[in-house]
Amino acid sequence: MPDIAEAAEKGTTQPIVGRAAGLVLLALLSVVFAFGTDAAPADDSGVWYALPSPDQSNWSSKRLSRYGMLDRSPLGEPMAVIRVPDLEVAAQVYPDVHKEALEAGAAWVSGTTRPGDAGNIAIAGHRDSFFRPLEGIPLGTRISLTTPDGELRFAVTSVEIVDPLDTSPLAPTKTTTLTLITCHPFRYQGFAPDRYIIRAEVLEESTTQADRANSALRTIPAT
Amino acid sequence: MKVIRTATFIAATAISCAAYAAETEYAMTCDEIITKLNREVTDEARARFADLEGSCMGVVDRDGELYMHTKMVVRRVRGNTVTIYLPATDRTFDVQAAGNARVKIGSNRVRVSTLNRGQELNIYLPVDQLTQPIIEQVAFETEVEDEIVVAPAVLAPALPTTG
Repeated sequence: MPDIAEAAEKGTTQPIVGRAAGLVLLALLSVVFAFGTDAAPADDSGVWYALPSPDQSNWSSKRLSRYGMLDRSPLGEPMAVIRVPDLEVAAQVYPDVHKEALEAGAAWVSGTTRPGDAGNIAIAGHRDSFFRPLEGIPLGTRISLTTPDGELRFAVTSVEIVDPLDTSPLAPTKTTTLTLITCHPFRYQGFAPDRYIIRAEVLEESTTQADRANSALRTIPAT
Repeated sequence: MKVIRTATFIAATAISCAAYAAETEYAMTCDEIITKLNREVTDEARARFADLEGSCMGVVDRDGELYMHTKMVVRRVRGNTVTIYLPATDRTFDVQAAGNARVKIGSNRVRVSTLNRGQELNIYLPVDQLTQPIIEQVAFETEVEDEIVVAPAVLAPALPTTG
């Protein structure tokens, strides 16, 4: 293959530069592909549950270490994404409370209403990682819960501290309610003795697949 | 004279080793028991004992039965009924302790009824329980050295533990 100087003399630089640029582009695409196939896709991946990397500045060293070593592949796709924009909280929600789910994000408490359905949706998270910014959350703070079917929006209506043996926060509710659970006190060393319960009520601006279907039906002209 | 000194040294070493073995008293190591369980236990049971590796503090033999030394967190005490969170299982249990059940705090053995909410203490878990669908027994110490008393345990409803 002639080098660029030779090719320039012969007036044939354009195809060689083009090939080199193509190789560089291919290499760049390979890098993007390699990092873009992680189970926790970057925000620009287009997947509905994609999130940017979490802000870990307030995480405990134990959580940081476990998050770094976590094998996400057995977790599969999350069932929802929870966001509290004012507190910069964003976490994927995995089904059932277990160790890996809580290390990877938040966990839906089985036996309560599934995210997207009507009722009491309970979600747990670690106080020393994803849910740490929730300490002192003001009433009225907006929370969103995104599922493949749409987005539910909530406003915080109460915050209370309960005994872990008090399971009343998991009881069914007549309205669609979001119940967030984490351990309390937030900076307790060891197994925290209490639970921090945040209740939020659904707002009318929520959109779900059912809402969109109803809306589409309403736009069909009468014949 | 030299032979006597050597024999005395060997005898002393043997006695020391025996005393050390008796003092450590562990029948198996945690690694051994976890390896054994990983071979024998179902995926479902392994999921229930997700924190087992971090929770096993030793394995002792009492009257031919193996018990895992592990941690409990006291959630509530009502007489001899104590509600405990077992990190090894990530579950909460109501335990009906016998009158002679004791928990060692430092060098003292205290009655279960005198425990306080939030205390993190040691308890014994019968090793055969690790392969059962649900834990039905835990074990306490008694006032007698090296004696263990088993207590029935029932799963208790509780909010998730999140660190």
